Amino acid sequence: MAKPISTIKKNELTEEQKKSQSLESLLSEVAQNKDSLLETLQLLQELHDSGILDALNSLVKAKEKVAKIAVGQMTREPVTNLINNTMAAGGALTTLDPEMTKKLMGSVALGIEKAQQGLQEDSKVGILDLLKVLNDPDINRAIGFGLNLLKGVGEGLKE
Amino acid sequence: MSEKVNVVINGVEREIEKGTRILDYLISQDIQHPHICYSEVLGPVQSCDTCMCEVDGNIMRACSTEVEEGMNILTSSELAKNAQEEAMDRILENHLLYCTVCDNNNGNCRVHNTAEMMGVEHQTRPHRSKGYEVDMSHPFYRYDADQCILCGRCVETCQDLQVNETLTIDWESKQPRVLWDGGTSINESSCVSCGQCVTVCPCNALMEKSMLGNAGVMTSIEDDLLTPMIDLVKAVEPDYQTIFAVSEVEAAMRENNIEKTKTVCTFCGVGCSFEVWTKDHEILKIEPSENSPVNSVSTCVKGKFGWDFVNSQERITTPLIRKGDEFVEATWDEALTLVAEKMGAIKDTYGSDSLGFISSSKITNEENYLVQKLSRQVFGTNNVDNCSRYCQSPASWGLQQTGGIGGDSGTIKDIAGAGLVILVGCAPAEGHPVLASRIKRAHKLHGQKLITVDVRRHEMADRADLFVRPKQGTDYVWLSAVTKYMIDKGWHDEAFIQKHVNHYGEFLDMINPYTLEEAEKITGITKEALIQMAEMIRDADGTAICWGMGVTQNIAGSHTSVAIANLLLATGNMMRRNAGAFPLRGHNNVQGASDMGTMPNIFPGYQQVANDEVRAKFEKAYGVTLPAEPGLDNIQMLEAVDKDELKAMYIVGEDMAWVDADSNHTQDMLAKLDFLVVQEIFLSTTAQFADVILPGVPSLEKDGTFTNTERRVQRLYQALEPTGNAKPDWWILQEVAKKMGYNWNYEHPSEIFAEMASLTPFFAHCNYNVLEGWNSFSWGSPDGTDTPVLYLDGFNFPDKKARFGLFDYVAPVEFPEEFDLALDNGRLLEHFHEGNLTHKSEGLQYKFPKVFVEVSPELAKERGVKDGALVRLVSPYGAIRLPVLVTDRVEGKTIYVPMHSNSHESAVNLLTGGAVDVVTHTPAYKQTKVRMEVLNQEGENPLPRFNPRNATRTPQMGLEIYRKWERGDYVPLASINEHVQPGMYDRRNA
Repeated sequence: MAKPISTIKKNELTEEQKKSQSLESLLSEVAQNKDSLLETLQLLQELHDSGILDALNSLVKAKEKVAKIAVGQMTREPVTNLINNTMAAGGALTTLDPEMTKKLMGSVALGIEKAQQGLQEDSKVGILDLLKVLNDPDINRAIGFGLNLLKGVGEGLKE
Repeated sequence: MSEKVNVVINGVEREIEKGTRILDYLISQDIQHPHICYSEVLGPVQSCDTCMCEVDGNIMRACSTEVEEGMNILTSSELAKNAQEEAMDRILENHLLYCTVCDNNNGNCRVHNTAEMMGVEHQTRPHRSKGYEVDMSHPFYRYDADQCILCGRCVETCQDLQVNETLTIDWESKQPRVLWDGGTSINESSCVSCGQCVTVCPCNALMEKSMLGNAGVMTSIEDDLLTPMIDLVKAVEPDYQTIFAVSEVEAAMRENNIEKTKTVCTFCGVGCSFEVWTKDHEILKIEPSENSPVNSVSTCVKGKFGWDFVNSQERITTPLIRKGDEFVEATWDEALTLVAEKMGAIKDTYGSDSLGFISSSKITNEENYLVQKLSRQVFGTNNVDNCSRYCQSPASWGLQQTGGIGGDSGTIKDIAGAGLVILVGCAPAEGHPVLASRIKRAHKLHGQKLITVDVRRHEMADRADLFVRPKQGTDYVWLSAVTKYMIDKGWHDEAFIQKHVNHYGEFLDMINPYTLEEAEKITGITKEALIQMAEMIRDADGTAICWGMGVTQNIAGSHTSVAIANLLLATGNMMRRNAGAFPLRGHNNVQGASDMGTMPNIFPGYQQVANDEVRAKFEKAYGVTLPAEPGLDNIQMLEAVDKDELKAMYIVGEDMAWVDADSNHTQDMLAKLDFLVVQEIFLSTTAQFADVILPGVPSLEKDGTFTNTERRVQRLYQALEPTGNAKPDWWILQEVAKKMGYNWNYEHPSEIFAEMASLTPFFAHCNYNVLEGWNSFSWGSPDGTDTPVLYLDGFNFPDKKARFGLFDYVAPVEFPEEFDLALDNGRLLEHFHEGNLTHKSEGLQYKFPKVFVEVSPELAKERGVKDGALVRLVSPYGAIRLPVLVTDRVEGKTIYVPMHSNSHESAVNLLTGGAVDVVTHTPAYKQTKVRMEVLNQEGENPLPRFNPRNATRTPQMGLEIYRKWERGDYVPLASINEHVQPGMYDRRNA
């Protein structure tokens, strides 16, 4: 007659056996990954020598605290303003046509060169000169550009 | 419906089938269009308003507007876009987008995906709290009103798909929210924890608790850091596209940690399939899919939440060998060698038939195939059986006699589509919940009629148009009387019978004695009720009869199953869709186990072992001579043990000690064996008698296929690595064969399936490629093609005609007078079988901690007992002790004990025993009488206050979205707000 059994005798491993099992599996992993492990060790040495490892360690240990401080700092109004400004500016820049910007930057450089020349000549500009130069196609184009630019800015401010 | 209409969509002319909804068409053409609340299953809920489009200048919902001739539809005109954006703005007032730190950020969040697709950048209405606490009361899921967008998918699902009728939205309140039973906590409500509301929630308002803090890369962060982080995101107010981009990076990171694997549920025979989400060995959640062929998004509490047993600490994870009075751990080689030596020696000494094999309805088809192969090829015996012997053999036998195939006539869709469903001796809302939900839905929305015949009043009895309680074991009589009455009245289908059914004359002679008067006398069902039943069958377009253990676990179980088939044949309810015979299989692979030939008289595919031609085929394939005589079934095996003829048994995944009737006797027989091998995942009571225990694995840890109650074969994919040193059961069986010198060499279950299919005509066209992913295959044709509905080309006999079964009534067993109470027994929703699996779930145990005996108010009064009183029930076979639950679900001197106990105190099969079905030997569990002794008149109510049975449902027709439109502050977006009645959608598609 087979009596029902409800107890299981576990093969409890001794501490020694557990240790040797762990070591065995570790060794086989090491053998399989020799190259990458060696490289990692070198990297770790570098990090240790430079003190970075120590700093990282402390940071990770205190990660919750650090994150709380960081997030706390970031929710302060000046910071959120800064983030919002940066994002807004970033957003505005992304809408510009890079080709146009390139052209504009080129034109500004040329303008500065001309202006330099004008400065050196040190000639006085009268009201008639102003009217006269309006007919100059280059100057007319620049003024037209400026006026339209002002109009656009004005529209933007209205929203 | 093939009439076409011409419409213009975004300037392109298109011809579309009339009656198609605009959104359905857009989805079918892969035209991206926003929508959140719509679902193919639920139809247009009409609550989110994000699917607005411009139709002939009006703003209309794409989900509820049908195409009409000449329509001009613009999906992204300014008018349409503005309406969509306004709708989304209203949604985001209710929902905070902290996606990156949200556990629902898994790539399938509909709110997230829709907002992103629409290119939403900002919202004008700021998010505001609704002012309700998060409801954490329920063990399995939680509701956060502040994230709830009030789309009502959960309400629609609870009311009209699951039809548990618990959830509503209080549209008239200042801040509407989802309510349980009109305003109680989730835990105290009538919620049966099916989890479908959580599945259909398009955001994180309803979440599985197992996901919280677990799914995301950063979601486990403590609240005191998480809240400031969310605040930061709010303060910075980035445009939402940036939020979405970041959250998508996070979602992508999750994909490395979370595995999503398709599997098939194991808690009943309905065959629900779904994905299981896992992280390492942890189960995050069950995620059903609209792709599931049987259940779509539906689950029950066990399928959705009952998987804790897989990671239970009690799993056996290494082979065990009996030494003295304890089990000691062994290596696989030691254990397998011992099995081979002992079984081999017993075979050599006493012959092959001194061995017996019991297979399981929980393991896969492939494993069942190998069990019968091990028994026949390796050990040379037909002594192999499975646990369908305890439940469904009579039903299969009855259907084989009449139509030729022992399986359901059609699919779950045919049950849903039937004009009348008759439930006989089954309680699908307890035992087959998803299947029950389809009947409840058809009954609530589509005018389906329902007759419930049961000694116990369960949910399906409450919902029935006609509920009758017959005397136990007399169903044969009323079935025959109704059949006779209908034939007498000329309500039968004479033409069908003449053309398709044999033995009509003999049949008429046989049922002649069963007049309505005689039936009333024997069954206790009134003549009026019997006539009403006949009229309902007459008037229905398609009658489907579902039955369960209340029929089969009687001594006339087989004959009664024949009587059911006879009634269906006489009324022309076979050979067609939306009608037929549906024995409800109780376990995931009851059908498959028998299909695979783990029965003493058949090879796979019901090929007779006694047939020389068939046997020659298997002898050639197996390379051995096979025994021609059918072997012993479960019951006969135990008898043979008693007579010292059977010396050793090999039991796979079956807790026979509690599942067979008369547990005391069963356990004595197990103890008497010379050698017992048990393949198990827990140290079950059966396993405690073993000499060697071989640790198998549950379904989530292996590949294979199961066959559900519809004869549908579905694949399960390995979701988890086997625990410890446990192994897939097919691997174990193969190793035993190898130790016995047979060179089995399967590397994957697909090879086993292919071998089986090559030998089995029914499966000729089935293989693992056919079954890939969500695909499935229903066997049922001799040519081996996919056959969802049986017999459309004729019955499975040489002349293609069915046969009226000519098997007469067998009256129930008589008991001595002292046993004055009729003991009904079976399943309840929360647990499975004897409880070995579901008792490991903390949440299930919390909702349903222990078994009890249901006592009628009359009997309680007579015996002076109340809820919680302790009683002893005594039968001729044994006694149990358990608390009383007084309820009018039982009547008079009938009592009910759920079978979910594996304790020597309260397991119901200590009481059952003796009588068996006259044909199949299935124990007549239901024909048990007991006497009751009161041990203590008072005690604690065994059913917790927060069990759903104590709450009252709040039924209504779906979400009632018109109540939202009637609110004073609702500003309509659509030009027309016309309420689409729930269920319209799938009635049209039926």
